[in-house]
Amino acid sequence: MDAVAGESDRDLMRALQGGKTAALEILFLRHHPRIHGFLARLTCDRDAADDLVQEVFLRVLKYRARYDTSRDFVAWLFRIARNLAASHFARHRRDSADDPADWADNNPSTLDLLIAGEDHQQLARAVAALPFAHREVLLLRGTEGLSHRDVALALGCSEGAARVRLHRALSALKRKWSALAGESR
Amino acid sequence: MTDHPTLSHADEKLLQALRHLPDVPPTPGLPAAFHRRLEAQASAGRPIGPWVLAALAAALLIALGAGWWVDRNRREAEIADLRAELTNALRNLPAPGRFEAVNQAGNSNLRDDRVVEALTHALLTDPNTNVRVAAADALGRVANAQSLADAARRSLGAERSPFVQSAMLQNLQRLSGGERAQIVERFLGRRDLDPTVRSEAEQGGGL
Repeated sequence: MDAVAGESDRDLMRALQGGKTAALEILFLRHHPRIHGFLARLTCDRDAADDLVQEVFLRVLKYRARYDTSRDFVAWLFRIARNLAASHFARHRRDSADDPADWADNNPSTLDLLIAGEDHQQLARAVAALPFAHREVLLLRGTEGLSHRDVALALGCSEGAARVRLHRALSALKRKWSALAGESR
Repeated sequence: MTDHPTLSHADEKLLQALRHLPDVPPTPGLPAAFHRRLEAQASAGRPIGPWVLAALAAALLIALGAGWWVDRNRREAEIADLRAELTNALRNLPAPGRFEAVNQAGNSNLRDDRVVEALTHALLTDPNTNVRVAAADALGRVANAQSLADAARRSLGAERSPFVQSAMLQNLQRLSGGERAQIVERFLGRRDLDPTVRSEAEQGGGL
């Protein structure tokens, strides 16, 4: 294998653009667990994530010439993953159809208890119950820790729009999380 | 300007909490599955040459001879055919032909010391990464535990491809805990490992 383990992502992408397919194998080994986790949470379907994460890296190969090596590779990877997940949802229509009007009022004291108790299983259920558009921005910014700029890049919108979407998604999550906690009591 | 100035303290805490959602690990063997898709895609883009046709013919012969239901004499003949085809492919065919032959040997369910020996030789010496990955997968299916441990020790001591390393690490699950730990410990002593493979070895090696 000509590509050397330990090279940066950008160097590996330059190698891939130069025709060294082996570089893609290293990029896959390096990033597939994280991208898989994102896709599994976004689609709520681990089997679909197994398939989609492979598609992500096949698209990296297909569109390698479009990658600008001055930009962050991981953000570009998340953009491909997000677009594939969106297409998957368009085909399977597994998005949550929850109506925000049905959600219980946000109860700050309940929310504080949930956060303090670090009930992450319940939080994961709340995220999964949100509409796709909320879920994707929460996972990118919250779970994956991408910057607002990279979230915007992944979503294909402006940074300002990404901030607004995050704000709305957080509000929805707080309501949903509190409602789920209320139901489980 | 702060990172996200419009967020409340509760929002910030919620974002922090989202960083600790339960892990959803990929299915084991996903790197090998991706590798097969990559290889299949590459093969689809190549023109079919005479060596591929020869490999397909060899694969057909091997597949035809791979049943468990035949009598002992026929079974011996099939093993001999498999050995001959595999040895011939590894010595004389270009990489696509060798890859096909190794895959067929791994799928044959015919266990034979000399087939395992030929696969081990391919694992350790073949210049093509894809062939070595296929050999690692094949050994995981047809080699006994002792042969597998020997092949793993030799391969993981020198192999530079993270993909081949990963395939051999998957095979270690078939070994006993003590033997597996010994091989992994020695592997982890290497300084040239890809961080992902190192992590995989640490998690799967029982260390």
